[in-house]
Amino acid sequence: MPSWTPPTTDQVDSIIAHLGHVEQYRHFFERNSNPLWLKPLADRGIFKSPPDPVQVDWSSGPVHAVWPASRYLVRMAEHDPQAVYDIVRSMPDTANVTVRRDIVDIALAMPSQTAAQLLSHIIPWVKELNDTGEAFFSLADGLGQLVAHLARGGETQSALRVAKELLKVTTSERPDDPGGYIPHNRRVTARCSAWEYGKILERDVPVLVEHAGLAAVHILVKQLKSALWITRNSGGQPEPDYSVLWRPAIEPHDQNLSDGHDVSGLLISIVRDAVSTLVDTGIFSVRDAIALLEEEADPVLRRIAVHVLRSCGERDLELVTHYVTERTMFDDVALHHEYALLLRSFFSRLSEDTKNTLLAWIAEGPERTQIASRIEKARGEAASNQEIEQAARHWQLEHLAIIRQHLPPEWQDHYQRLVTEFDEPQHPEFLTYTEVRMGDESPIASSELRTMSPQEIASTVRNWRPEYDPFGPSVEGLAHAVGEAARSRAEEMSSQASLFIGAAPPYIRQLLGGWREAVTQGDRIDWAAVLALCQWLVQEPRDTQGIVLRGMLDPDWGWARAGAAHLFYIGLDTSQGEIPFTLRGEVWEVLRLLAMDPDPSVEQEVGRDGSSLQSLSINSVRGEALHAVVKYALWLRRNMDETGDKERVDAGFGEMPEVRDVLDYHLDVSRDPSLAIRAVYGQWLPWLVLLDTRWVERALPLLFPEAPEKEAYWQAAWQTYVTMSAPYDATFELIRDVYERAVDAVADSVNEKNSPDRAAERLAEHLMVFHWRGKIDMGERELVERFFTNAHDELRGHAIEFVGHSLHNTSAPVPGMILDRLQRLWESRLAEARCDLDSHKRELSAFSWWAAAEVFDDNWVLGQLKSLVESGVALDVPDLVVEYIAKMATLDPGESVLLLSQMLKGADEWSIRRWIPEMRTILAAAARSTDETVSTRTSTTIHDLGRRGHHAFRDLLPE
Amino acid sequence: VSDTSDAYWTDRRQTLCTWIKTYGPSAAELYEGAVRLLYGPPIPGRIRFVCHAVREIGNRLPDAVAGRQNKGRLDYTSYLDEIAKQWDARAVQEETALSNHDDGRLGAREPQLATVHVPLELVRILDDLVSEHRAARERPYEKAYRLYESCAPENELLRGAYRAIVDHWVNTIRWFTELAHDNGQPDSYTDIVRLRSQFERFEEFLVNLSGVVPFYDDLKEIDAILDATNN
Repeated sequence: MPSWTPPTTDQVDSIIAHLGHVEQYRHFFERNSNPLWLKPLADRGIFKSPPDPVQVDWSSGPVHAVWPASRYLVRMAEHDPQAVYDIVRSMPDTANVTVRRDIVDIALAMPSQTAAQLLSHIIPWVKELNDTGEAFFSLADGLGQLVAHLARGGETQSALRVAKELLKVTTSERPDDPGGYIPHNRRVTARCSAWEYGKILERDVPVLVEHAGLAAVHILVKQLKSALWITRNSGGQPEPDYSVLWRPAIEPHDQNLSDGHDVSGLLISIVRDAVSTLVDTGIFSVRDAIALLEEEADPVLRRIAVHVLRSCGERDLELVTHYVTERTMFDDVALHHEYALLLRSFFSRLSEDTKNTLLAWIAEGPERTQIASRIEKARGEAASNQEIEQAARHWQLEHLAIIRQHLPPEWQDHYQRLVTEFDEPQHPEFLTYTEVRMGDESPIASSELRTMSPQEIASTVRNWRPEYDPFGPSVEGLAHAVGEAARSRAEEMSSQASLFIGAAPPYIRQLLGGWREAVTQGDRIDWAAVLALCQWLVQEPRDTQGIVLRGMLDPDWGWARAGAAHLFYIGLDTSQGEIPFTLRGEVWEVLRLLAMDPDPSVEQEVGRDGSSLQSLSINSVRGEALHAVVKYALWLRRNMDETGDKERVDAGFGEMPEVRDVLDYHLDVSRDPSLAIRAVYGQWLPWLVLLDTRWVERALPLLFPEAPEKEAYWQAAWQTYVTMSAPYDATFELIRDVYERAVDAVADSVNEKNSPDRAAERLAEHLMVFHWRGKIDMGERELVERFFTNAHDELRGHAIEFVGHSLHNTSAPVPGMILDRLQRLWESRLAEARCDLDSHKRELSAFSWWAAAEVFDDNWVLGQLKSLVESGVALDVPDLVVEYIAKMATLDPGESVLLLSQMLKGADEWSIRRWIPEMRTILAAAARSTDETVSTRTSTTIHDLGRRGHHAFRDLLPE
Repeated sequence: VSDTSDAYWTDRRQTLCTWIKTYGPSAAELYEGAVRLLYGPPIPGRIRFVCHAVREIGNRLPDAVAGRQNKGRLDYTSYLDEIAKQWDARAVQEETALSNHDDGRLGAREPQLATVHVPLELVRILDDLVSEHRAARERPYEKAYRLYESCAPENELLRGAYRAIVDHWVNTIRWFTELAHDNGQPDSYTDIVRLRSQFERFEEFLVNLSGVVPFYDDLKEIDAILDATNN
């Protein structure tokens, strides 16, 4: 047992004088476990001023701060409930929800009788609850627990008071339609989130029902009725009950859309369970329970009544008989599900007379005029007698299926005949049953397709035709299955590729796609056979006139052709499964024709530039074919390299004139005006230089035309080159003047962090690489200097950050010469920035990446960091910098702790929390220092961290 | 604490004095003087001197820490002298304007709104006077709260909860203020032990607010009090 002493007046006054800062305030109340402090603190008014919500930042809601004093009261409530009660009673109200929650917790910690006396405080808060966010979540949860606490303690009237308010439903407009333009735009809401509401209904309300009985059920029924009223009046005018649509089953069921998600559905479940509990525990008879639900004359409550009758009907078969033989219920479609389950459960226990009555109703079938009217309404033309009788038989089947296990023998035969005619009903207890299916369906299951030979598959592809069923098997479904077979049985299927000559475009597209995937995975295919199929494909007329196939998606042969181009692109590159060199002629024959395809058209390029043009090039037939042409050239070059014939290699395109001809052809704007095609040249420029430098030299004026009217072509080639290619020295030497033009234009680059100019960023990266390689020096007239002069801060920052990233990602040692060059670059940038820090914030902040790379002299880095931090520069990646400082802590604890303390000044609390392990390393190293200045700074930093609520370092303080 | 030595001029008091000095050398002198009067050899009238010193520090420190300029006691006479001077300089011109206007109004059948043009310089003086008057009339709680806000900005989220703490600071200063006035009773009528206790409380407030005591040392003092009542 703890032993407590009341504090003296002097101790109380002294403590109050010590609470000037929030951390001391928090510490005092968290450590205080003595209830004898309650009165003296209360006498001094400490509990008289609960903190209100504070609006710290207008971009978010007010902060409902934790009040350590009320948390102390929660803990003390079990020790001295009366003293805490007196304090809470005299405490002014506050809108601070966390304080309110504490007071609810105080009530929960007290005997129910005392807690009940706090309700005059608490009930108004329940009325203020609304479903507006997380801050209110915790309070509603506590209030739910309070309902159960009061009920358990015998304070049922008080529990009912809270429950009545807490469970109230209301309505709100849909958030996406504040104007109310969407029909049925109003929804049922509670005073807390539906999730929280459900939790209270599941956890706390059953306790209330157990102790308060009928009174609790009345509250629930009333709220359910309110919710249903809102639902039925959401469209402006009263509507019939459609609960069967959003709540097909009263019991928990997969078909229910609303279980646990909306307030109405939750209330249906709790009313169902509450009434069943009262019947199970004998508080209600079955008849009383049913009468209670029926007296409201509401369709949903009637559905619940029938459900309850099914679960408790054993006790009152007479009532069951009465219900199942009520013809209006038998015919009521809204009651179909519950009635069907009731009938299925009790049919075998009914009297023979009753059974015969029901079977006679089924035999009689539905009203024929109603069937006729329904068909006519749906179809727009009158139904024939045959159709009407067919529908009536189907109705019979659905009704007999409900009780099929209990049917007399003569009815079993009739049922089987109906099954033969219509198929066995799967869910006769539902009028409608929802199933979700994804994707296109194949008429042949994958397992079956796996057992079929290529000949059988080809035969199916030729002969199968889809039916007129939008949800049934489709061409795309079968094509997808065939493509999957091509992928998984690549060698076998490709060897029989010619069998598919003449097949429709979707099948060819999927076959080529399947083989492409197989080659990518390293599987072998029969290239000769596939090339034969492709030769047929490229010689087919491009349009699909004459191929009329219902459900076919491909508008023409374009997608299939693109598939062929893509297959070649992969096949000319992959070492395993690469196209045999002996097929050079066949490959070129196909590629040549694909490169003449009309896709992409100029119209497709309107409004596109940069990456968008590159994207078009790989998603169009001609574009992808041109990419494959370059791959073809490299394929030839690889084969020449393997023969070791240097003369042929040096001849460049002289040894592959077909490539040169195609490249020359498409560089001619009068023949191919496409910008996407020009982007292909840009993307492959370094490889074209490798293949034939002289050809590139000659082509440059066409590739990067200087004429202003051809600016778009220049941009298409440049943007794709600079964004897609690594910086290669040979290419740089050839197109240095192109770089100069780009550097001069960089001032026009758009300065948007979220939507950066990727080409400008890549230019910065290229320049940095060429600089550290020594290809470009510093100096006013040099590219690097001109770039930094022209570029905006964001772009300069990107350049500096790129250097840091690159160094950080380099595992091999970086040559000293490169480091010297970069150090000089940084020092020159820092000198420049000192003249105008505001315009260089981003650039300077990016230095943190250099520190994180850990390749420079540590003293130099620490000096630069210190200088930046002292200048008030917010470092780009402070987490990495702190990590670096932690590594340096042993080497130079003094500088490390100094840097840390400076960084802490501007750091937010979240950053500090992330840095705890590194800070510990730094402070531990510094704490071991014998230098008095260092140890004083270390202690000060630890005390400052403590003052900000971070106490993980206290043990590092000297004794 | 000895009355005959400087042992009362502890490290903590010296540190606190240095902190006060950063905001006002004269306030630091008042503080040091109060300590010496209270704990050093008795001097006649020391009760009132000490109380005056505490009251002055309590009045001046909040503005100084908050970075507000303290202009000392508001000198209404000087302000009115300046206003009168400006008034006289403009009087003839305004008088003419008013009399012309009055002539017109006398002849008018309906009442008319009169507009008086006040010189800008005069408005500025009046504005300063009103602002300083308001500042001088500021309630002690607001002034004291400013001290807390300046010393402990991190308390922002619990602003409301600090009402009780700030009230205690205000009450402590008020206690001294009430004793500062000469009520005809000599020093011997005042309980010196009580006075010292109150003064030490006043110091505790300042030590805590100023942060001159390292954070965890402050916690140790809180823990010591809690431990004394928890066992």
